[in-house]
Amino acid sequence: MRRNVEAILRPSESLILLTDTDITSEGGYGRRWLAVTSQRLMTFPDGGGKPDAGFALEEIEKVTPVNLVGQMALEAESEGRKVELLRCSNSLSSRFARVAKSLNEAHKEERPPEFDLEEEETRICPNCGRLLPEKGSFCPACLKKTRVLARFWKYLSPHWPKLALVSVLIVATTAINLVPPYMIKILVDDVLQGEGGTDLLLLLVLGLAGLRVASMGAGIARGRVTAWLGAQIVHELRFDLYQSIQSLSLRRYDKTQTGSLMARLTSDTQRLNWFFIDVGTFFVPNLLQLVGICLVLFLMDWRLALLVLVPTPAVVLLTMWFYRRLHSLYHGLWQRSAKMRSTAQDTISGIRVVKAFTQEPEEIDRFGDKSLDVYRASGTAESTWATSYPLISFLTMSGSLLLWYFGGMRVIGEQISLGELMAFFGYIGMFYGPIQMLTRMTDWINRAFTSAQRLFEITDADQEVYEDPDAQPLDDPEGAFSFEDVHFGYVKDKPVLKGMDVEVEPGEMVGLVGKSGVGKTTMINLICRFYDVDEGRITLDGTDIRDIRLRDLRRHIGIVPQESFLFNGTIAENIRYANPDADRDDVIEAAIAANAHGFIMRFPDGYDTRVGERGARLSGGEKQRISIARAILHDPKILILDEATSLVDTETESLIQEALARLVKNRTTFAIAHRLSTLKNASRLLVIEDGKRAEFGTHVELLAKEGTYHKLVQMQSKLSAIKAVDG
Amino acid sequence: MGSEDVKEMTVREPEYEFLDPGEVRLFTDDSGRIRLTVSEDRCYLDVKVVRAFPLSLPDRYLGFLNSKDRVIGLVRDPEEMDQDSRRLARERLQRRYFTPDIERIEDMKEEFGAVYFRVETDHGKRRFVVKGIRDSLVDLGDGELLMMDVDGNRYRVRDWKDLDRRSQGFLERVV
Repeated sequence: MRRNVEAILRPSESLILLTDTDITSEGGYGRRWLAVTSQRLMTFPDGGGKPDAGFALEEIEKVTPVNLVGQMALEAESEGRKVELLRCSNSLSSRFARVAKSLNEAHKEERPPEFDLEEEETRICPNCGRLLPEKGSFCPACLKKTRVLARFWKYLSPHWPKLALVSVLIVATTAINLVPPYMIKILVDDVLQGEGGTDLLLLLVLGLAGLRVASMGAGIARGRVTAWLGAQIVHELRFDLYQSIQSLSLRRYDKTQTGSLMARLTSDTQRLNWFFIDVGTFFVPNLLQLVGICLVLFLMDWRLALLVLVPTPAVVLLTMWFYRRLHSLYHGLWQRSAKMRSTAQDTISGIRVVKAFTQEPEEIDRFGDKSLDVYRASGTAESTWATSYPLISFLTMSGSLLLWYFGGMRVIGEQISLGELMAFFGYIGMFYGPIQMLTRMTDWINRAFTSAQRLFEITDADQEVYEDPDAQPLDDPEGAFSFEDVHFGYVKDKPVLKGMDVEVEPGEMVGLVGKSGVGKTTMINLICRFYDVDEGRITLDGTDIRDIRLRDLRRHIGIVPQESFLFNGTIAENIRYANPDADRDDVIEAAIAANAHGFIMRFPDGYDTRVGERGARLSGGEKQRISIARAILHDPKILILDEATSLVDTETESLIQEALARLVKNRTTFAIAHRLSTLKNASRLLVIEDGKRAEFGTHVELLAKEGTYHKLVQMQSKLSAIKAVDG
Repeated sequence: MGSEDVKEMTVREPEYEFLDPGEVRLFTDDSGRIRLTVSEDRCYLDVKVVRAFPLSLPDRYLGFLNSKDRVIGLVRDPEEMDQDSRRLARERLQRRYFTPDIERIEDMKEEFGAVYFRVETDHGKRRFVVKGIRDSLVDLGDGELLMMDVDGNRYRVRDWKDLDRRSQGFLERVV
């Protein structure tokens, strides 16, 4: 392609960029090429030939990436006209957004463009082409089972004495189990039909009893050791997992739903536990038993053994087929039950709304439909099970039918003794059970591996590094913050902040003002380094916050969140949350400063009052003041106030305002206020528009400017006037 | 908005309105931009055509946004617009909502929580990866499915019961 394009260039022209998009000029999937030379921009159909569009670079004033639904278009403005250069699917949108940016920069600076598309983060494994769980992370397939096993082994190896014990017990039980049928052979041939007499009979029966007891004992011991071992290993795994979840970066939290994290913590670990128990109690012993039985059967009479084993492949295949079918049926049933459950849960927790809008009949119908789905799925699954189980049993039985006929013939023909036939029956009885179980083994192992993988995926995911050795410690910050050309978006190509520039003096209180979605909360997320900036930098006392040790940075930041989140515990515990060592005096002083002491003392249990789940037993205003007290006790250098939107009565409001005023003193504060009146304490106000700084100055300055802030104030004062009129 | 009578403000007429399709004209001007005029007296430049119900009722309730993405108004039934406007609206919608229809699933495999598809769509062949299929696959009812891949591309199955057996089998494994 490159050669084709270069062939049509003018002598003075050089090719700077040649890159492909995945949507053709007709709008379908396919390749199309974009070439940028020192003079022109051209697009080519795949295979080269003539360009299907071309522009001189100096004619293109601006290139804009236009985000559409499911694709992106690159539009150029040239001599007052707007033209579409190309389209690409969202898979390539970041590449072409970068192309647009480079072109625009070059145009502004009147130089030939330069492109740097190399740093494009890869999300596909270069080895096998699979999707990586995270951009730039390991490929789960390429570290495959050996890696997972190695990780497992790390948890298993410290317990090797127990593992050894289990192995010995497994071998012992298998060996013991193989003896009884052979004793039955002796019993029939030598005692019942021979002249062993009653003494030998008693001896054999006692021997059998002894073996049974030994087998039972070993089985119990094996089961108990495996149970504890499995539970312990899973406990260790789960503990490590929870540790990882706690230090997971917030970006990762956005991507992983809380539910899926919970599932990993509970059901995946549970599945691994079962796996350990199953392997220890069933799989390995069964496998050994099968091998042992085959060996004995072939030693006794290889022809009969071969015959008996004839139905085995059929049993194996059929069992596998049935289980696969049953698995998908039961999975469908499970999904439908989950849907039914969530429908019911939704409605029941929203029952007030349902009743208020008299939607009971509709809700009943909705649930009825879901229930009907469950009924049908359940019927299909259970009836398939009811068919398949007897069928498999019958097949297993057919082995013994063969044995009766051919074994009987051989006994009549006196090729084998009756005792040997009886022993054969004994072994056959022990043969098919394990076979059925082992057919499911691959499935179970796979599922256990997936679970393990899901766990390791979290433990391997990008963790926040609290103790980066290269990061600078931060002991006593002044609190001067500056945003320097900060660009950031939660989703790529959808920037929220687009070049934020602002400098905040130490101890200053800055009110963030702007419409919702303009980037106020985003600024706060960046200050706390819940996310890292995409471009530009944020500095604290002149140091890029990415170079500051995260633990130190967060230690100096206090947050009074919009929704006061209290943990289930006492009021004192909640105030003490960030400083567990604080003594009672400190807690009370903080509560007094937060104007919370009064209402706390009125509670029968005072500071020992339990707040209930999420602080459910307290009112909004009370919760707010407790979270202010928490921040006061934490005594941060940098403070973040996200004003609650919940309405409280005027008196409480003034108590809260007073508490906040005390809290803000001598701290660099960023405050998001929804009521402008709250911001009267602010030293300066930052008005944000379109992800950028629109206005920055004191209340008086901004009013005088008669800009955006002026408008907002006017609107709010009208609204509050209405409130006053409505009383 | 007289400030002496503040109550008046609260009963301001809603900003968005249903437009009379007969009075709406959509056309491309000389500079290649999309223009919208309403009854010859209002004119908007760089207009976007969007769907109010892109999934459940894509052919009706079209909205128009101005260059700042503010809503200009709605048209209930675009069929009542004049032919040229209708054609242009359809063209713009097709560009904006790029959701190829899956006609056949050639291959599908599930590995490590990601599902890899190789499909044939009405826009050509395509390979894509879906992660967390339970959240990325939306059942729109009546057999219609919408899938979102890891890059945010969209694919639709018009009616999965109309697909061939093999494709249905693949879908059954994940739906």
